[in-house]
Amino acid sequence: MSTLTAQSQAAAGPTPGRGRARQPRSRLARRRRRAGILLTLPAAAVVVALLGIPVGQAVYYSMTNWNGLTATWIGPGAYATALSDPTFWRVIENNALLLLSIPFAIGIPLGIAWLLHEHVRGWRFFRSVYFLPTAVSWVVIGMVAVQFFAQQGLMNKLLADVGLGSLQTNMLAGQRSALVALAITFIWSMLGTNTIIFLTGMATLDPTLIEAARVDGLNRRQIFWRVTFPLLRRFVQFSFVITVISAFSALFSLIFVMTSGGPGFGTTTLEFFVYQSAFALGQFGTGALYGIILFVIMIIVGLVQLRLIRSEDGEGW
Amino acid sequence: MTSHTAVVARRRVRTGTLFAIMCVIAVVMLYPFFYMLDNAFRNQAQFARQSGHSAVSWRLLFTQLPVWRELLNSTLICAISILLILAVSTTAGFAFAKLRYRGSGLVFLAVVAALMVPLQSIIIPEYVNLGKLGLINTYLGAILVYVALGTPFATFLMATYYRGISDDLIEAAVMDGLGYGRTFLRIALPLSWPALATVTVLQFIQIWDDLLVGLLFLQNPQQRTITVGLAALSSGRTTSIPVLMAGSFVSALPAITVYLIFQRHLVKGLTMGMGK
Amino acid sequence: MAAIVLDGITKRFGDGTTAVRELDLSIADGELMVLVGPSGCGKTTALRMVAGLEEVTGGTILIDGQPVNDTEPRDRDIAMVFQSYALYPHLSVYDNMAFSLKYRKTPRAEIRRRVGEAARILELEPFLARKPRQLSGGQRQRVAMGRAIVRQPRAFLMDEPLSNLDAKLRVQMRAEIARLQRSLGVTTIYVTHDQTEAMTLGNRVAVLQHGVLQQVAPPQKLYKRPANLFVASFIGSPAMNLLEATVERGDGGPQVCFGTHRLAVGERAVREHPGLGGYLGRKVILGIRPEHLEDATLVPDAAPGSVLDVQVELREELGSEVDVHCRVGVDPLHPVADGEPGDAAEEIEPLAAAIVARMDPRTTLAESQSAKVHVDLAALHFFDPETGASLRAGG
Repeated sequence: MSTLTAQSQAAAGPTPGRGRARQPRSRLARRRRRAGILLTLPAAAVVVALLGIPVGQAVYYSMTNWNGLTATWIGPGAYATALSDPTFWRVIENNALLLLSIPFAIGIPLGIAWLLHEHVRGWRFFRSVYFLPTAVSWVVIGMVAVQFFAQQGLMNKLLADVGLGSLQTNMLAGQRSALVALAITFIWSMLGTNTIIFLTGMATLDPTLIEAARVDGLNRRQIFWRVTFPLLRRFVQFSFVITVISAFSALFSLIFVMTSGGPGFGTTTLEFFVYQSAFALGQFGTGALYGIILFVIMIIVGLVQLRLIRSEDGEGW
Repeated sequence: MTSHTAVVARRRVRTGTLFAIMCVIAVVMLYPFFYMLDNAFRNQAQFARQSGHSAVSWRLLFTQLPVWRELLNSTLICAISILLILAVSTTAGFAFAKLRYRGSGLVFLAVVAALMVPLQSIIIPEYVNLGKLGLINTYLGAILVYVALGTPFATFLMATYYRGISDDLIEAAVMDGLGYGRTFLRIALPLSWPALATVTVLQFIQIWDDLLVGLLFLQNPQQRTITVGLAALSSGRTTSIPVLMAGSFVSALPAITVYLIFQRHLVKGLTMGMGK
Repeated sequence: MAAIVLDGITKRFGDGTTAVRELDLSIADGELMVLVGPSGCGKTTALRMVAGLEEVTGGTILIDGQPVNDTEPRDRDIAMVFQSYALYPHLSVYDNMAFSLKYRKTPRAEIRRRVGEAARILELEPFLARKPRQLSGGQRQRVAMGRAIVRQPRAFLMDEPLSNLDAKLRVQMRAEIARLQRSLGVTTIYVTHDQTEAMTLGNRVAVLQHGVLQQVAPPQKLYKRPANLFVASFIGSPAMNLLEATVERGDGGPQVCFGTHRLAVGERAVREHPGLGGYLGRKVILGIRPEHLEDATLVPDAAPGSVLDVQVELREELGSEVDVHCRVGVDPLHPVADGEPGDAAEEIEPLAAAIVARMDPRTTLAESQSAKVHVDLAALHFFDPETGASLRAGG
């Protein structure tokens, strides 16, 4: 009895119809709404037609074993089959191992940005230079990287020059070593982007905070770890997201040019696996499936990031 | 007395070391380009020896690849895609920032959330859909995909930028008698050059350097982009490395040039929306 | 030229806040009406409703007798000067001023004539080719005015146009605006939070608080005969001194008592506040403007019951006068009766209130000194302690 009254009271709660956007009544407001809808229509249409619907289609395809000619429905079971395929896990393992390179992909730029921030003479020139690789296509980078890691390549020559000739090897020949070569190339090309992000972050820091720390007697290293780094948290998170997204999607070109996924499945990451399954092996259904899994992983990463950002200081970016 | 000179000396040593470190890093970043250029000017034998130079590889490059044709393709596709992306994202960005209507928040969220969709997840359905429409091996097919991929981020960027324009300006235009469409064209758009430049640079690099879309949607050698052409060259039969290096340089040059000219905007674009 | 009438207009926002409550205001053709009040009082919202930038939730706005609630801003034929000036950054001064005329298909020769005329009046002629960012704050403000003038509208709406200027410029521009409005004779509604601006500019001033109109009157009347506590304390700087006092009967007429003081209410004050008699034995709020307090040593023929004992705390030299901040003893707060016998006998701390007196610069009163201050008993104000309404007759 009492719950009923409580319920009806809750239902009558806040004045009904007092939402944030009411029906616009004035002519100006109506004109504004019409303009708003018209102007956002193209973008919305593009996103829905060329991004939204294909995702749905991909989900559909993923549950078939379509090979371009014939298709039979499998249903969600397809995911179970895929998840029990050892090759799939090998591929995921590759992605995971690559993630290990992220601390380097973020840490090194942090140091470089710290250096640049000191504004030593010519720092602007250096900044342009460091950022150059970002403009260059992964294909190009990959090709030069191949030359670097090859048997007759630059790396071995350098090792010989320094007297470490015994370490010479063809990194691209071994499964694990090829992955490492890939990781190194990836880190090298992300250096520029992340350096810029951190440099910008440091430029937005309030210099009086650093000065206050100096007056309080902290030395440079303490200042960095206790003042600068905590304030850069948001930028570190942003750079983390960008790097992870790149690691999961941008490596395709690198792999294509450097190793074609090999040797074996040594450098086949998920994004390459999608291409391989669908266009090299003709299994559209399977390819779509891996594509969806990739998508889900990205969403999870994004949500985790959001949660981390939210939980820290309550404000997002 | 001595303490002052000691401090100055220490500072100079410090600056010197920093400078030295930065030079080392610069070498690390730049060397691959040097290597690329250096070896592009060799023939096969000189490459193996790592000495001597000749221009023969360049000639070979232009015979093995329809370089000019591919550069033209890349340029056209980039230009048209960027124009379309700008058209779509500026209008939507303005509307999301200044012309909020019921549900516009949700639409905005949907558009921006689309950022998370990786190319590989949708590439298969795109291929199938556009194939059904007969758009494979046409400029339009690739352009549509590029536009789809670039719109979310571009819209987000433009919306953020337009949000920074004072509402008063828009209201003044309303008082002056302009409709919202005209307000966008005459007031908002002219004021957004920096953001437009940023979107252009970012998208140019993305599209020019893209491989997957070009590979699948422009298989015809007559329509290939330079990036795809280069990749095809490298995975083809034994091609001389110097030729590949020359090709790499040709492919990289436009992107580097655009970058050098628009550096400032690139930096702003990457970091916009953060800390605001 | 137009008369503007705000007929019971109300503005309620989507989240439930009411910014303007049933505002009734009638602005005559050619009048400069100032809307003044603290932040959040609804003055800007009211202005924007007249402009058409905010929807009217209730009531009607009439321009020249025509209801315009449903009319778009551009069809209302009014021009607005924004607080931030809202100049188009990418256009020159000339183009900024000509902008709206272009979109109303005014012939080019006519545009040139009007812009030239406005530039002449506002002394902007040397700057016509410049862009806003190349102008100083004062120049930008004039461009904003110029933009409104060339429209030759039925009315001007000005939203705190001077608040972004430095103090000296503000005083200068105030006079300019007043002069301009007088010579153009265009109906103007002017919003500001600065009561000095309101007093110097307005033909009439409307004081708002929390969306409710407190009083609308010519400046002098607001100053001399405030309708309630809010208007009394808002208008005038330094603010009117307000003290809680009890009305008591004394020989020669009513007296007000607080602390150890008894002030005889002057004859004129009694006449002006007929309702005072009804407060015998009860509390009223007594209001004394700083300029009606003077160093008692400088008032040789002070009437009895017109002097207060104060403790001087601060002395501010203003050149032509001196502001003396003092503390005067007032009634202590009564403890809440909680029924325990013996509580009423507790010792209560004597309280002091801060008052400001604007004195003749000859005064020698110094800080941390006890002094006597003379009160002009003819210029007292009285207010009801609960409603805040003035006890003045008429109003």
